[in-house]
This record gives sequence, structure tokens and C-alpha cells, in this order.
Amino acid sequence: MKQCIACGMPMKNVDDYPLGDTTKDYCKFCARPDGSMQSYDEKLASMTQFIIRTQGLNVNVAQESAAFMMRKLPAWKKGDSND
Amino acid sequence: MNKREQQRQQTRAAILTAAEHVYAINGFIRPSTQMIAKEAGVAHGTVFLHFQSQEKLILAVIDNLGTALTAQIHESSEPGHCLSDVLQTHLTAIEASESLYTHLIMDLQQLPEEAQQTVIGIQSVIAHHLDQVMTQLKNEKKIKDLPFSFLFNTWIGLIHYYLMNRRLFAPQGSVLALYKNQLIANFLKLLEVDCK
Repeated sequence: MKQCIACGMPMKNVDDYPLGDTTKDYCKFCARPDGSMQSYDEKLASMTQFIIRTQGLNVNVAQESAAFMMRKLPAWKKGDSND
Repeated sequence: MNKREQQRQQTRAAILTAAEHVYAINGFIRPSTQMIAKEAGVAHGTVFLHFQSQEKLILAVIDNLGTALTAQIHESSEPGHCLSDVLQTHLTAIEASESLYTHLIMDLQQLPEEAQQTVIGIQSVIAHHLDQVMTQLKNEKKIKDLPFSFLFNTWIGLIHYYLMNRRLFAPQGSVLALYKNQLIANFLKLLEVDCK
């Protein structure tokens, strides 16, 4: 079972992959509508918004937490952009 | 991996296990590194060969806890799970490390910022799985139309209240072993969910 390199979510089913493409190393939540992987800035923005919407945190705290979580993941370990 | 490296990793793992045990009993603030060295059966200086400071040791233990909890929540979550299943998965994961998790949330204000962010990370994982189920239930008008963050924080607040006051609810053992099913059932009633 693969683990998404961009958010850490396990990809157990075909539905978890972008456009059902199981050759990808990232999940559907980390993909753009065309199936390509979101950039660092896009993922940081979407994760920040997710934290605000689901946990109601302050925007700066949410952004710091999103960056903290992303630093541990293979796609972003160096914090470099993946455009 | 050569023998020396293997031994180094074993010693590191032994120190981490000892620290988890000591922190689970005494919390993160009071125990000294001497206590952990004694528990691990290593010289005091050996702790600092593997973890440069007490803060780094504490953060390594918290990071391990976060990784274990999020892995368990992800692994136990399946498509088609109802809300009750997701809540059960959350509490079962916490219950496996209940004492350590409880000390983490109780000591959080005195711990480095990274500890707070690890807790937010754990909560983000459970929020992700709850969001999948609750969005659908909300669309089907099976739960109250309240902001997700309010429902989520109500759930977390409830669980943390019971854990932080465990001496009042379960002085001899696990709060979640005693209250898990009751908390889930009543939270579902509060949201007016038909999970069948």
C-alpha cells in the first residue's frame, strides 16, 4: 500500500488516486483537477484552509501547522517547490 | 547495517521506550533524564549521545506518538464507515496510548511549540476522516447544520475533558475503556444521526 508523498494519507483503493491513476505517488486530495500534483504553495494553502475549516484555528497558527506537517513528508522535506 | 550501527539504533530505541514509559506515568514536565537513563539501563550521558537535549527527547517521544496514532487512524479507516465507526477508530487509537496522550494534552501549554503542532496534526487526520462522513450526512440532512469546526471541537473538547479529569471518572484505570461507547452513543444522539 502506497502512502501519499504530499499529505501522508495511505492510498488503499483506486478511488484514492488522482483520476484513478495508481501509478501516481500522491492522492486525489493533493492533485489538481487535471491529475497533476499540487505545488508546495497550493498544498500549503489548501491544508491551511482545511485546518481553519475543520478546527477553527487562527489563520497564522493554521499556516504554521500546515507547514510543520508538510516538512515531514517526502514531497516537501526540503521545503522546495514542486512546480 | 554494521553491528555498531545496529547497537546504536537498539540503544536509541531502548531510551525512547523508557522515556515513553516514564512520561506515561509521570507526565512530560517532572521526570529528569536521570530517571529515563535508569529506566533504560544506560549511563546518563548516553541519553545525550542520542538526543542532544531533554527537549529533543520529549519531542521525539511526542513525534512517535503522533506517528503511531495517525497511522492507526488511517489504517483502521475504510470507505463506507459510518460516523460511529470513525469515532470508535479515533478513541481506540487514543486508548492504546491513553496515559501518554493524556499527559501530552495536560502538559501542552508548557511544552515546545512543536508538541502543539503534533497535536494539531493528529487532529487533522481524524478531522479528515470525520469530514468525509459528516459532509455526506449533512447533505442528507441527517445531522444538525452546524459548522464542522464547532462539531469537531465539541467532540475533541468532550474527549479531552474526560481524559484530563480521569481521576474523577476512572481513578483506577482507563477512562476510555469505561466511557468510550457511552461517549460515542451520546455524541451521535446530540447530532441526531441515524447511523444504520
